[in-house]
Amino acid sequence: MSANLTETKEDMARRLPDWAKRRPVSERYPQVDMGPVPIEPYISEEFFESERAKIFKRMWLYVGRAERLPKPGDYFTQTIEVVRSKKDGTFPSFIICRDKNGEIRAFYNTCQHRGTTVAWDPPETWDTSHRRYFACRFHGWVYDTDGSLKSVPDENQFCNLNKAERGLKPVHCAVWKDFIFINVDPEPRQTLLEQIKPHAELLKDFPFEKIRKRGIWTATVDVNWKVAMDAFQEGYHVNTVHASTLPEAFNGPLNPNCRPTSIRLFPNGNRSVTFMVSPDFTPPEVEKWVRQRGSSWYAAGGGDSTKAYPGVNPDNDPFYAFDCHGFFPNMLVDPFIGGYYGHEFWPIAVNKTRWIGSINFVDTQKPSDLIANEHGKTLLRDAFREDTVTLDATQVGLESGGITSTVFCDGEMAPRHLYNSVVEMVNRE
Amino acid sequence: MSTTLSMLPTEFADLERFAAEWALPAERARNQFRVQRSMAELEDYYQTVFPRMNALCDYIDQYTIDAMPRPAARLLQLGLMLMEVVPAVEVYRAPDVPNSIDHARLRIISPSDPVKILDN
Repeated sequence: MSANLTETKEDMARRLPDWAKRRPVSERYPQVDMGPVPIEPYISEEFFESERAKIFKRMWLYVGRAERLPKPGDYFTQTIEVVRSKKDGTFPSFIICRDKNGEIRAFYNTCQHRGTTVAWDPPETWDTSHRRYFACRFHGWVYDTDGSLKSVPDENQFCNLNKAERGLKPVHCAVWKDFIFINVDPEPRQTLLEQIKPHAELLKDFPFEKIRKRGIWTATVDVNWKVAMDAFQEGYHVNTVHASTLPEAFNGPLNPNCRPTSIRLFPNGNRSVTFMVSPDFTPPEVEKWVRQRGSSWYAAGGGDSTKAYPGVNPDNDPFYAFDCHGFFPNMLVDPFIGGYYGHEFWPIAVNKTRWIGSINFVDTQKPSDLIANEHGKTLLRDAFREDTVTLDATQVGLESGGITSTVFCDGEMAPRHLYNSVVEMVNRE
Repeated sequence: MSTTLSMLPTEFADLERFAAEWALPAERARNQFRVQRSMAELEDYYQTVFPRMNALCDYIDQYTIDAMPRPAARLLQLGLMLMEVVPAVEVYRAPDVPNSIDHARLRIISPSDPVKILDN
């Protein structure tokens, strides 16, 4: 419903009767079939194996932020279950590190002696680890942060050992605005920028490099990865799932069912969705105070679209809250006024997914900004506790035999687009 | 000047009774503490700390986050704890989130508070 940034509540109310009876997203994309779709892609093990081969083992996958690797020698390890080599195989681990020359690199976390995991996962935390070298715990082979094999205990006992050929196996790695991606395809079919082009163009001036992670949360849920992702890319659930929290802030009389104000579908499975805040919302006392002090997620601008960072709200919708950028396949990046929040959905099995949610704010030196940020952080984290509660139950229903197809409404175009994009890519060569 | 027994700057003597237990250094610890409190305890904290927030922010903003004396850092932690308590008091009216995924299943792995505390 393209309008303008400074539209008043009364102006918008005048447009409502028309908006209410239309289905604006399917009007914008008349080529999309709005009928029911079969549920096999959510429950079929065979389909899941095709997704692994045709999507996850071919595409650029987001693994972490460069802010996590400020200094040479900083690294983290990342297990990526979905790119395992065998159907029921063990889960491969990768090292993502900043080498001595400051370059970000990724390797299989695999010793080239007899295959042991080299860098073991630190305790579950987002804080960075730091090493000058990686030493294998089995026989003590030592690798430099650029992956090269530096030393081998009792080296002369190996016959013709060529150390230059025994460095850690690299994985393709590329960085866009401090988002680090890897690709396990030996010959990627696209560059990272080709894969994420529409997002990179829209968000080219968004200050991601100045933004720091403040909250990160994870849960393993017994649900297909697409169902998990869909729970975070439509607003239709807000009235019910968030009954006690968000409806007043987002829905309100102008938009009682939390419809997105606009949706854009892009090639390569990418998409973005824009949501509004309700101008009729009266915040509770502390939230009011926080709005005066600084950033707190949707509360920051209080619905003033003109305060948003460049690149957001591409349709100039009034009362802007946040955009939800679907980076195909498994990441959502949601810029709001003052930062962004995000999600990753890591498939483990057809009905098991590791979810990661996070919130990120513009870096600060001022202590009270941390307090204002903390308000949005705790509200969002607690809302995510609500978002994740329906997931297991949805998979149980999908696998029960009690349903054969699913239907999506106009505002659920993002879940439909994810479904259609996955089916299209699984069917390609 | 602080006495040797006070944990907070003297201007905040009224918050001293919370300093030992409620000034926690990370989100995971703060959330764990919140969900184990009664609503009466959370409301007492909210009612006592919120009216002091402007003074608290003005005080801690004399410093930067990479060099905070410990008493100021404790005040910051009390302010962060108020934000942890807010959803329970203002939104849910319960210590934990009703109708949500089990508390233990959503694991908080947030980075440590980005604050360097000076001990001298």
